[in-house]
Amino acid sequence: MKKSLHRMYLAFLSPVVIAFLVAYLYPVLRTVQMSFYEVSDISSSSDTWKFVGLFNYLDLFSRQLFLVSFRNMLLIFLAGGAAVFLISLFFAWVLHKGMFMGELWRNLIYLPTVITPVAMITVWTQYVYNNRFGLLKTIFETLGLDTLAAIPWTSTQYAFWAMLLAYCFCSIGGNLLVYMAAMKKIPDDLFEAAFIDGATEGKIFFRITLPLIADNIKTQFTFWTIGCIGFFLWSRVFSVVPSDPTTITPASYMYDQLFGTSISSNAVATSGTNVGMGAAIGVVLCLVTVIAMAVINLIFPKEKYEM
Amino acid sequence: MKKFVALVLVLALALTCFAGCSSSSSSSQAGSSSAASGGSDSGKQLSGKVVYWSMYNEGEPEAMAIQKAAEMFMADYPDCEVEIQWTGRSNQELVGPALEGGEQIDILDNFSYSTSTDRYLDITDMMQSPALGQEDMTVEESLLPVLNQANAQGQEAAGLATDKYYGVQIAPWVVGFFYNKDLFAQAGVTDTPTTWTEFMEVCEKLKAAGINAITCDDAYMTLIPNNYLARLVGSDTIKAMSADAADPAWQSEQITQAFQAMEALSPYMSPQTATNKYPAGQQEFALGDAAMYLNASWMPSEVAETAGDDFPWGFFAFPVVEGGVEGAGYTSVGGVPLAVYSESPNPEAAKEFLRYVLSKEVQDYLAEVGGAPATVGSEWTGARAECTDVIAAADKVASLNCDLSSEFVSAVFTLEMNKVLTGQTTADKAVETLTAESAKY
Repeated sequence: MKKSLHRMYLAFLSPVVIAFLVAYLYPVLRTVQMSFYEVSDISSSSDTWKFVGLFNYLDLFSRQLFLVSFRNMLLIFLAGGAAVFLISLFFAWVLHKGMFMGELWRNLIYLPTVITPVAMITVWTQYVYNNRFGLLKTIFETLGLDTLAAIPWTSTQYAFWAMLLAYCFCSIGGNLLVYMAAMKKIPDDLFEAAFIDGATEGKIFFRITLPLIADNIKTQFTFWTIGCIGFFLWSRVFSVVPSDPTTITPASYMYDQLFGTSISSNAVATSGTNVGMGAAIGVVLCLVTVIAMAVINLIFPKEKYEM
Repeated sequence: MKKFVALVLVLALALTCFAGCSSSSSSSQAGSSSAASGGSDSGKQLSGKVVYWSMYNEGEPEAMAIQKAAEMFMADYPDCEVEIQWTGRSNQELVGPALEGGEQIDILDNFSYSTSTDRYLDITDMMQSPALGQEDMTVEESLLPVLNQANAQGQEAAGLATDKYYGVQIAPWVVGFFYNKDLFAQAGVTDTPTTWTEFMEVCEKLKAAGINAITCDDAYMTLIPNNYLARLVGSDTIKAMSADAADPAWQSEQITQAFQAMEALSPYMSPQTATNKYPAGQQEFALGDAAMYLNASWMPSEVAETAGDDFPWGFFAFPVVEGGVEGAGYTSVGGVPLAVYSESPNPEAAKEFLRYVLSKEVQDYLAEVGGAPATVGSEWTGARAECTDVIAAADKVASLNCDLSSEFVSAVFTLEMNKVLTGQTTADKAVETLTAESAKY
């Protein structure tokens, strides 16, 4: 009986395991291997690779542009993270408490999440931030706030913050929905009991609501962290200039190393690719993710509250 | 139930039709007649299949011309078949792995010689054979000299011999200032500027007439300072500057001069320039809100819908910088490279097919349907006709960004130049930043 059970496990699990090994583990190992070689072209065969040891890693950390990209990523993670989590928790709490046309507000805040990011970025860069007829300009002008209306959002000076603002705007909806759902699950008795005992709204939020949705916050925080480490699309589409230091992130820098930074496909001379270094960036980002996950597991409380 | 079965059958039939349509793109209509002959007169006995995964999409002018070349070729060599896959601009991502996997692809395009340098066959013999339909000259002579020069420079950068041809360039483009003839006339500008001083005078006249002289957007902003600096310091110094951020040229007087020139130009830039995200600047130009835009000859087709058919297109070469190293013929010119795969099983037929693509008949047809012809004496058509003189006058070739590229250039030089041009900083401050940052790269 036991033997046949084992065989059944094997039969049912093997397709998934094989698929995992072939489609996931092999590329990962290959990337790690690639990062120790000098590789000129992403599709060049492995017998043209030249072993260089740790050179790609050493070279990478001496590159100023990579350090700039890393700093940008940290800023997105910290500044963007603070904004997204505070605002979405606040809105979730307010909407959960009940608000005039609450459903409508919830849907409106969630709406940007449904739209494909490329379309969103185009709307932000070409319309919202536009300095001739843009949404922000029009609104600020109507309100008589001329200094705010004159902000050159997409100029090099403000481009990073403009990108971050737009990204956060689109990230709040998803978080909000998760927190609202989590808050709904908390039994009303708990709130009522606290209220009868004379707890203030603030105390109820920090002592009851927040601890009971901590698990969800942890999940969302994990997603946020991974999203920031792999931050690519927004950086890429927000600025079409290759290696634009104002918005570059490590993932975008990796792309430049893998596929080159020619300003146009029509250009004869393109700057060379450095696939080995691209692979090294991939490995570094992977390690950063692992470390970030470990830290997240450390800082979030282990104890579970029973509801 | 019967209805359902009928519906399924109709659907299946429709799908088969569509499948039929798509397979026709691999040009197997060998039967079509062709006006030009003479290919088979070369006495070559060719047979077999030539496979080409093209960067063009079906319906584009270049694709139509290549298709025509394939039809002419197959009419002259009935034993040959040309199979073309229209794979689009990112074809290189497919071609590399496909070649590694043993797929037959004989013609390559849209590549850089620097990557996979051993992929390209020496086609010098074809280039030195008589041009199709113009037997008094070789294929090499029948093509725009600057295109061949651009090709040689691409080969040189990759360490390939420059006295041979490992590929050939088609679909040429040339960089210069597009201008709005009506706005120039409105400001009383009669002649296009040829020197930087004249150029600044034109800007002043336009400004006095209340017209935004120049606009740009982030994607092409780097072209203005790069073109100025390259003419000032010369291509050899540019090469040294690209190679090393510590090169003394970065600290030279000319760098300061270039920054100051851009500072002097900044009052003439449209106030939108700082915030223009591509293609906002091109649109500004196409809407008639600014008089000039520095770009390559492909721009009219990019803004065709906004500009409309009666837009007063004009084009002039980037002005000569007085006291600079480079002369009037120094121009950014390029094309799309075509090559025969070095391990092609059918190299002779592939080379012969290229000869058909490069024939004047095919190139003239390309111009007729709206593309840029690569052959000498072929008139450019439409808005691009304005570019004919500039490319004909070019004698020294640079890449789109005037060969100035490195991480230091992207991260510091371009950014600082952008700020100066848009009035976000001064030339002095920018030079200071440049000097301070150069030590880090």
